[in-house]
Amino acid sequence: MSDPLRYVGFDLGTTNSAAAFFDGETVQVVRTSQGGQLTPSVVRITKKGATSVGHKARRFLDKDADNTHTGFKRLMGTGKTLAFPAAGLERRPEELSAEVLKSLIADVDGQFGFAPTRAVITVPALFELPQSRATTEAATLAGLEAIELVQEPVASALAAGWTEDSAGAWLVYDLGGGTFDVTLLASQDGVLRVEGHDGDNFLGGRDFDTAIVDWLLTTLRDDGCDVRRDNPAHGAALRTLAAAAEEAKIELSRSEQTTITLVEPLVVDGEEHEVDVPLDRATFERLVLPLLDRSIDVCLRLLDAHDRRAADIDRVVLVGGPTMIPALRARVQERLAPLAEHPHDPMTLVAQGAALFAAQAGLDAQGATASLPVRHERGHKVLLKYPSMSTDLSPFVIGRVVGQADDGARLSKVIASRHDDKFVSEPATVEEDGSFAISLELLPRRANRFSLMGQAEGGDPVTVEPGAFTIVHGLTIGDPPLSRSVGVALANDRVRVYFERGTPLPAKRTFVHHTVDAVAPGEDDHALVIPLVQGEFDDAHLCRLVGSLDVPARVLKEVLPAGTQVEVTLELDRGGHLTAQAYVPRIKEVFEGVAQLLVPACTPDVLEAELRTMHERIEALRADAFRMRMPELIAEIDKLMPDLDDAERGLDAARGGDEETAQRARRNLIELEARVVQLELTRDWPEIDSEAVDDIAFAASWVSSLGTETEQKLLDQAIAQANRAREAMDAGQLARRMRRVRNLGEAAYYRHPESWRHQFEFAAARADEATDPAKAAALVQKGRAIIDSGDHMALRPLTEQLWGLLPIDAKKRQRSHLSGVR
Amino acid sequence: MDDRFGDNPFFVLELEVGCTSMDVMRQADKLIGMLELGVEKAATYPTPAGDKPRTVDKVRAARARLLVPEKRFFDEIWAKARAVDGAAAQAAGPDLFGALWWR
Amino acid sequence: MSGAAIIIVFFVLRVLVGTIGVGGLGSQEPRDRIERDFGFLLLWVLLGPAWLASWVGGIVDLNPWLLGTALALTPVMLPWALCRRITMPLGLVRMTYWIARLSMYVLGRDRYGGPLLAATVAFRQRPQSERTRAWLRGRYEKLKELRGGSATGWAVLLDEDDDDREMGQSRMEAAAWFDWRVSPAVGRRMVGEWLACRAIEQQHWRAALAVARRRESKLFWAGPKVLQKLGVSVSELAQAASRGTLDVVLAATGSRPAFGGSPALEVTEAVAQRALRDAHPPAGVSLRLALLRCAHREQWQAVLDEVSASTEKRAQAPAPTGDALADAVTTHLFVKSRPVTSAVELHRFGRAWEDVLYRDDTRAALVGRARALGVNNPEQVFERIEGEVTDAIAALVGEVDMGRDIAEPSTLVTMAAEEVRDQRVEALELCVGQIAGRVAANRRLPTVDEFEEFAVMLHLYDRVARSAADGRELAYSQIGSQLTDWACWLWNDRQQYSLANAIFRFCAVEGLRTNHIELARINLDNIGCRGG
Ligand SMILES: Nc1ncnc2c1ncn2[C@@H]1O[C@H](COP(=O)(O)OP(=O)(O)O)[C@@H](O)[C@H]1O
Ligand SMILES: [Mg+2]
Repeated sequence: MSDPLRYVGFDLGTTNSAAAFFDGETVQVVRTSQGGQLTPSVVRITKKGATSVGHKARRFLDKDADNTHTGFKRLMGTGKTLAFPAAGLERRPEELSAEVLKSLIADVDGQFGFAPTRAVITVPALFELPQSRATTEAATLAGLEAIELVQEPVASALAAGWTEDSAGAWLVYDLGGGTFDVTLLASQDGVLRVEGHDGDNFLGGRDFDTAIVDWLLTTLRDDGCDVRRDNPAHGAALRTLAAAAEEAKIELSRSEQTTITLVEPLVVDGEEHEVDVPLDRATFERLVLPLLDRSIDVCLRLLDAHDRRAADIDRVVLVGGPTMIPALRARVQERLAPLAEHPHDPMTLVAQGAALFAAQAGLDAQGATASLPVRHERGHKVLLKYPSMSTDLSPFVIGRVVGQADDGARLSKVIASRHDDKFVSEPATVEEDGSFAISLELLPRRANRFSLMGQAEGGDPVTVEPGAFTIVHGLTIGDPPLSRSVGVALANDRVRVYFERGTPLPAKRTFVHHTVDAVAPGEDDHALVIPLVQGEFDDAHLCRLVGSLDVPARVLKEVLPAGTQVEVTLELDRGGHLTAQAYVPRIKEVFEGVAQLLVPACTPDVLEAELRTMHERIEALRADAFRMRMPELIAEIDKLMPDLDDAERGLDAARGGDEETAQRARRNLIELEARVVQLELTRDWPEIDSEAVDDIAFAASWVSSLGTETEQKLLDQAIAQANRAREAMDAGQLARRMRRVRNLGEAAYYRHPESWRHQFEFAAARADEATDPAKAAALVQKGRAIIDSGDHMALRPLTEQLWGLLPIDAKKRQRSHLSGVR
Repeated sequence: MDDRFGDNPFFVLELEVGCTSMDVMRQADKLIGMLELGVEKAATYPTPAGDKPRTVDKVRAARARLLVPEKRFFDEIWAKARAVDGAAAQAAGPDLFGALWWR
Repeated sequence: MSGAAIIIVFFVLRVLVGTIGVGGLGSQEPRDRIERDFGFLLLWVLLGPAWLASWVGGIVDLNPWLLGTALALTPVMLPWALCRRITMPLGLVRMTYWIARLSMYVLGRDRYGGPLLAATVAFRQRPQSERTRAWLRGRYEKLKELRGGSATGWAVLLDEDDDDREMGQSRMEAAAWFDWRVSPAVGRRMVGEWLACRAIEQQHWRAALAVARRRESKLFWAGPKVLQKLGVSVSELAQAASRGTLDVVLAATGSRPAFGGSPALEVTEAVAQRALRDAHPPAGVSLRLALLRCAHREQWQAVLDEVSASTEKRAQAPAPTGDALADAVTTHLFVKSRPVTSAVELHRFGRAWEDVLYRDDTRAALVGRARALGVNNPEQVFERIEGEVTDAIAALVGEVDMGRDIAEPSTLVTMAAEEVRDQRVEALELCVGQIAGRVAANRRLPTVDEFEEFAVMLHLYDRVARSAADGRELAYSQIGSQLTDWACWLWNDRQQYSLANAIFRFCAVEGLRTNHIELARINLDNIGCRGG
């Protein structure tokens, strides 16, 4: 370990990527072959199959759009491939990311003379499991042998904390090309800790460009140039405009005023249009202010979730290109907290942090064993364990003797001395089993090099191998925490959480579930489905499905009846790779292999259909709100509209072939749906509530006259629970409680001789809704005959049969990702 | 960390309830080093529920927990437990079923 | 005398035996017994002398023909003895099955299932090949109707390779619900002894005692006619149930030991009584006699000796020290590390935590410490602790009988028990709802799996019933009618009379116990139905 320290970190960004190098004392951003610090995450493949990456490829983004791709990071783990028609190739996002990594590796080699094989790569904090796994795959494809993933905000904070005093609460505000992440960190005693994340997977610099383009389109339309987003033929024109808008945006970070000019006239529907539109900072700021506020709202939401206020934040670290925008900086200071004192480069901070993290993880860029010098004099061989990076100024080094020196003298004491000679440790005694522990002292923020010396029994000095080691002092962070809880969706639409958010990785857990439905070998379309979800919601259907462990009926040799025990084990490695296992003790078989679910593809048709239903729902909601005179509800509905418009634009983009924007719209629609559901609940609540009140009254009166004492007590409890649910406006809970109230009420009610006749009449009235109307009609007829005969009790089986034909509530399971376990 | 006693971070790291974050880091690093070198002393730790085997994963998990104030506070509470008798081994019933029933 | 003649006689007898004396639902006990005994007598009258003579002749003359005849007739004359003494202990699965098929006297009530039960017991005696297991399973799955014997056998077979203890127990309890008319007496005894052994193994002495003393009311084999005879109405029965005197009233309708007479159960009773330090330990003579009749005298004696010897080696609860938190946590550890024996102990445990969580001074001290550590929201941590305590309590609820009147109840325990009960009811509802959905869609499962669902249902029901004093009422009110529908479907559409009948019986008893008179009446009527 006497080699110089070499740690490498990569920021694999959506728009731009970067690499950094750390030698134990200073962090350097790696220069690209072009002389800059950033490598645009752009890949082009020419007709001949030649791949170019970075600036070289970027120039072709609008000239040769078909064969030049960017933003593929967002498609990582989606299983989607990107076409390079000229070369006739298809590439997965993982492969394209690997190309970018290879280019970064080559840059490191160019500047430092070695190609790293071990490094740290950053991922967004809110990356889901399939995405992290894809990143690991990209690294492998790029030829890296060992990697660690670290979350971007953690890296940013490490880098910022490396250069300034770090105590207190931090906010890392990372606005990239297409994603926004905000992270709350706290540092105490030099240990950095992630308190929480939030973010918007679909907010970034690109939205600023879009805002400019939209403004531009209206301006151009006034000039008779009609470019439309939903017209695939206008794709090229839009791309050209977007590129111009981005340039203007970047320009406006420096100057007050710019002009959007195109070198070549814009060709729209065969007509040429000159574009030469002035844009000033004030207009730009007006256009993007809603976006800025959206990002800050996310920050405030995060703070709120952790019982903090903006005033509790000591500093904000800004990361990402758009944070260069002066208005953004002003807005952040105005609404959040002061910016970090030290000027950080928002574009490369992440990469720098990654390199620092490599030091902490002891991930030397070429492996520690690369070049052990062969020595002639042979001392006592020892194995050493120490933190390669330590927050603690007085850490331990632990050692164990594994080989005696040639002269055979027993090693009795070991001493470590720092290379500046200002510190020499107490002699540590070598224990019976050959182990020893030495307490060291470090110089702050430095690479501290120590020499190790042994003493034989009599006090004679003897050599020890290795004779030296290095510990870097600096801010450190614990093991990578899981950013979102992972669990199994249950049949009752709940989630059994296996790993809570913040669980240090790797982690492994097992829980016992029971099947809710029988699965028989013959039923080929049947399977026991164990959906794996990620998210913080209590309701399974709101969480993201990240995989599914299926036991298809066709692999079974015997029936698994309902209630069969299934032991599910989930395991997450450090890189966020999820493996799952289901053991069924009854048949002593293990089922493995998560069908790694991918983000589903998003075609314009799907999107359109979803959008249409969403429109209908919102309109219905609005109409009801007017009718029922609920002004607050109307106001809430109005707040949905911008997002709906957004989704609409996404649909246009999807028609134009922009998968990425379409994905984003899809995602927004899901979020929109959650809000609409909430509003629908607000609308329906009075009805739900009054129905509950009626049912409670029904149950209370029957139970008090015909119920038993226990039933009375049970009912009182159930009513109290129902009332609690009513207060909390928790519809799910209320439904569960009310079912109980109703059943109790009915049990009492059925003791009344006339009750079955009432029930029969009630069910008969709904007979036309039955799944099998003919059978239902026959039952109704039979029932009438029984009534005439006066034997009301005989109506019961008949009525129940009738009920069976009426629509039942099977919907809930459907929603819970079709889970087959409880 | 399902077992509040056997897996309690304070017991795993053999630290006092009042220790600092720095103590936690130092002790965890030290224990991990010892475990990785196979030092016997580090192989088990005492708890009120009896001795438990120590693993690197357990130490890392314990460190992670103690660095979060909420979790640490939570664990401090359980670390107050005193040893009780009968905690270590539970008397098993007679295993005669196999022999008794219709042999 | 030729071999052919023997074979012909053999088959004639086989047919003869097969047609008489087979019980079924709706058959009357005395008649059934007469038929059976008559068949047996006939067999012995016709063949007994010849059989005995060929033994004697064969041995005296050393005549291979005669000896062969004698041997060949043995399975016909004493099939059960042959199984019980020779093929079963040797673990000869298939042979046990085929010989047991001849044993109409012992297994006639479950003509196909009884032999399977015997074969399963043989299966259990030694490690068997996968093929044998598959063969056995295949036989069960092919059964047209599952009766008491086969249900028991299936439960034994599954328990052999299932680690889920509680489910094993529930399967056996499910088998116990089958009517005696479709359950061979040996099978019933096996069920009882199995439950007793399990209870002893787990040191659940009360459960052991209950099994040993379990009786079955005449109501369940004679149907509602008994009530008419006695002049008792269903609602009166239900009222008795709500007063907790149902068993007394049922006893008055006439009853008998649920598992038939079994010396092993008699010994079990003694064992349980000793373990529970009963005031009236069983008399020495009858116990000695029972032990003598037991198959495993020495082992039973050993069990008996062990419980007698185990003097109070219970762990001592930790003494309070005055530090409320340390006391609560230590009690927590204590409670978790060994089986809790009573609801009173559980409530004491709950109160220890209440002293920490809800007393102003202790709570304030904890809040202070939390703030010092930099906890933003100590209340959240308290909630987690409360959750943890509740979980611990929840895990214990159901281990002990929650009982009705506790002197100093702990709110935490009461609330946790309620929560547990609700969760368990939900699981039960899910299970029964799923069955109801299946019935509505007419999705048929193999019979053994329908039985399995019954067992699962019982298991979940039992968990609810144990979790709270009112659990049973709640559970039944939620699922009673769906269960009845299921049983009706099994009866009408699937001709699974025995299983349906078992479910009817369950619904009737539980309906009475929970005062669902109407459902109880319907199910009592259904029990009276004839089928098969
Ligand atoms: N000086 C600047 N002013 C405003 N926006 C900028 C500036 N420089 C870059 N950007 C924008 O920043 C985005 C890229 O930021 P970056 O942090 O590299 O993204 P990512 O992390 O997604 O790779 C692009 O949308 C780009 O237009
Ligand atoms: Mg970035």
